[in-house]
Amino acid sequence: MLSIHHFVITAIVAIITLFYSVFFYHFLKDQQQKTDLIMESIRHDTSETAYIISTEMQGIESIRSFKSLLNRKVASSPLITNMVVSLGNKILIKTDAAITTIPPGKRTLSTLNNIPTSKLLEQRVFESDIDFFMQDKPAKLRLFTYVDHKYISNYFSQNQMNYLLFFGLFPMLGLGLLWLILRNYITTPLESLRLFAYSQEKRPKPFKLKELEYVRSSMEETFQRLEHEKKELYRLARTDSLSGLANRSQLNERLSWLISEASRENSEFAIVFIDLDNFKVVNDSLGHDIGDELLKNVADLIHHVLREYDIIARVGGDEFVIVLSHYKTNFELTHIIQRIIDRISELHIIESHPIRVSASIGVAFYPQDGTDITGLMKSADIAMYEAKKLGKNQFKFFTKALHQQVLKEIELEHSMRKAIKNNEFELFYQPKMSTDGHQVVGAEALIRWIHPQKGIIPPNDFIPAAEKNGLMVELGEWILQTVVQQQIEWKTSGLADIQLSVNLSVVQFLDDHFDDKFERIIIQSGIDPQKLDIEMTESVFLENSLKNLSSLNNIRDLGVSISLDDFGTGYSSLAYLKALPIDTLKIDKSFMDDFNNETGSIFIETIVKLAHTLKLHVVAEGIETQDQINYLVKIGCNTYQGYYCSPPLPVDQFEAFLRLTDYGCGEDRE
Amino acid sequence: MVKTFFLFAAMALLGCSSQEQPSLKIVANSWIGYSPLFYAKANGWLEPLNIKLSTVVSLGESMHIYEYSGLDAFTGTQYEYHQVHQKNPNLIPVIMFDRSNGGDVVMSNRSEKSLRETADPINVYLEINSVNQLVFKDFVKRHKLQDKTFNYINGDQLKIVSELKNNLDPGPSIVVTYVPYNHSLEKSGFTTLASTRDGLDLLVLDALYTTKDTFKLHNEQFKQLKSLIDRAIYDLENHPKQFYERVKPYLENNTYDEFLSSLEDIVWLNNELDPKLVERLDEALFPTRDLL
Repeated sequence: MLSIHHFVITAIVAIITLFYSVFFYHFLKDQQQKTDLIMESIRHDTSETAYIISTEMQGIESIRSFKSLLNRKVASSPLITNMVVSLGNKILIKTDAAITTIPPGKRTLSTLNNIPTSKLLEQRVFESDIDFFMQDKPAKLRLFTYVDHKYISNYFSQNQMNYLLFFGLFPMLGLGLLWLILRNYITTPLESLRLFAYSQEKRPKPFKLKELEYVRSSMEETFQRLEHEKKELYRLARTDSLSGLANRSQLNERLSWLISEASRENSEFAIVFIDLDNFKVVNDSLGHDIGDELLKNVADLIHHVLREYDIIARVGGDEFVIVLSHYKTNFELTHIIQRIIDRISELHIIESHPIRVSASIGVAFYPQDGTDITGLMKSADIAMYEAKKLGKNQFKFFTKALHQQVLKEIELEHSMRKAIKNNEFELFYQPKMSTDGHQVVGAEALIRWIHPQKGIIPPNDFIPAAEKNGLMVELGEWILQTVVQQQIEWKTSGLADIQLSVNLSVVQFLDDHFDDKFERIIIQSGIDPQKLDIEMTESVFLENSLKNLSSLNNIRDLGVSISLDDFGTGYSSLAYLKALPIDTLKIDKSFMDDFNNETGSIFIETIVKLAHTLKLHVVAEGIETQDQINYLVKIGCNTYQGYYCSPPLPVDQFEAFLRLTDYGCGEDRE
Repeated sequence: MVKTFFLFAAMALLGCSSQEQPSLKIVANSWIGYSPLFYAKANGWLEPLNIKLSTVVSLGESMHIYEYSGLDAFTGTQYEYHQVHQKNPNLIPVIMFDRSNGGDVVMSNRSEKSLRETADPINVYLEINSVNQLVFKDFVKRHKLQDKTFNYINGDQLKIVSELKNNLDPGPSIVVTYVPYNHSLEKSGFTTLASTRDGLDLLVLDALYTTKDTFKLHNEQFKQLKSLIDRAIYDLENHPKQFYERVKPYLENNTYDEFLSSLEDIVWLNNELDPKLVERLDEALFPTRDLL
């Protein structure tokens, strides 16, 4: 089937072909007519000249008197350049002095009739006889007429040019213009209408032609209406008409997408199934209208509790499903869920009826509790029924262990907050000793939680939780503040002016205000910064290394030294030693435990040598025997800490230790 | 696409325009004063300028062909100029060649005395419609021949020469002619009775004439032609023999001596005109303003 575009081109090509066929025929005919006219003029001049000479010449000697005739003919005819009269090969008269011989026979043409244009254009000389009598004998002179070849060529060239211009180029340009007009005003608009009708993507601009514009605007209006209706249908198909929330269909669609994404990124999300408790009672007692209004109210408040990107859907009468994907910890997740429970259980006033309902919530996690929509929904549903069974108005995780863990975390957080408030945290100090004179050269501050019921809780039981729930920042600041005050207090009291070490958690570095807080504590307290040492592990550099490095440099700039704790146990890299502003390496207890076997000692000695080469101090941790100390002396490690000298001690015991030992312990201690 | 189309159209139209100079067609008669033109043609100097020079035998022909054959310029004396100027007021002289200083002559096969005494009609051979007529009138007046009966025979110079050469006894005849035809007539027994050098108080100037429009259209060609004429006259003054060899066929194959003699009969006017001459030209209503 032919497109309009091709049809127009074909039509124009057909017109061009027809036109140029006629034009070419006319051109050839015209050329021949002009040739005939030129030849007639040449023939006339030639024959007239020949006749005059033939009739008026009184004798061959009087031929010279006809030179003026020849000159006149040549001068008055633009077609003729020269004329020559010869007798045999002898030139008698000529109009151009440059001509010395008559032209050869092959270059002349004696026929002056029916000459085609091509022949005229190549012919330079025409020849004619002049009959006369020499006394009573007939004789012949020859008259050569030289045509102006350049003039004739130019004449035909000009003629051709005019033809090409007026019958060739102008019509061609005209047809080109016509094609452009047809293309711009008809074929292109029609093509854009076709594309618009096909894909409705690119809306054509208004057209110049009225009929086409009517079609375009009608199509545009129709497509707009269809698009609007399509969107409305799509929205209705995906939206719960009562609450305005997503319906099950949309929930499934978005869940599918979320499962794909979580699978790709290896992340998790929670699906929260909410069922209102005793909703049937509301419906039955106050009517469905009130029930519907209550559902709308609940939908609104869930919507307000959650963030924009959380998925909320109403999947049944009083059933809602929430999908939460952007939470950092289970603790944060439970906070959100608890907030929903609390908001739902608030008093609702529906058409002046005070209504109080509660909600039971089941929580399932992708991928632990299900890897597809059906599995996840089923798990969340089961957890929800478990919550109902346990007395309603509460939430329940599908996995029991997880549920227990979350509850424990929540409880721990509560306890820690309470502990901070009640000053249940306490710093213990473990001395750092010199291996040579067993002098106390410093102490490491270690936090302990003195629980009223559970007694002393080691840091391993609460520091990870504090790092998780965000309490670490607050706790870390308290530790730093306390250590600085303690150092100043011991110094002021004259008990000791030793360097105290503080462990910094990687979580503290994540605090945007850490640098400012640290500097403020140092400056405001008036502590000699050299009496403070920061201990941190290599994990500080696993994330945000550039930012953390900047913080460490700030610490060093203040004059506080930095120790790398547990060296060799983590992702130790020599690159860290090169890049970090470290003053001291602390050899982990696990290395020291193996000091007396070949492999263990190689590691210890390598670390010590490395530290010495890099001009770093070395502190050996977990020293428990005199043999270990002897070994340390032997390999040149100057400082140690461990139970051999003292475990971490509360402040009063540490002060007593200082007094008793007079800054010394070990074999020499009393 | 539209821009491309119009660009193509502009290029196509520009491509149709011709850059060649239009042809400048000049007609000149055989006269020693126009020999620089013949020299330029013989040397092929005119072709690059697209100037076509046609030569005719007589002054009258030159004027006639200019008028009726659509040529661009013609050579002639001030007489031909006035003749054409009456019909075409746009005609102007553009290049000055020479002033006749003996080049126009009145010859006869009788002595002046014989002519004055004869009672027979005297044949007068001349180009009626040319400066010959003025020359003859001046001659008649100065030699007091007004009472004589003249039988005017009009013809171009070549025809006159040819006829008198073949006619051994034409009777008392006067020929008004000019260089180089006088030399042929001398061989036929004619002697010079008067010339523009002496005996005739007539100013005869030779120039190239064209219309103002043509002058404007071919201005550059005319300027270059003027340069070529100056160059030809320079060559003539410095290498007359070579010059002669070149122009000989255009001057009816006179001998070199005749050629040199002819040069004595004209004064070149290709340089700045003498103020007195300009004054005289003004009086003769001969414009000099557009002269190159």
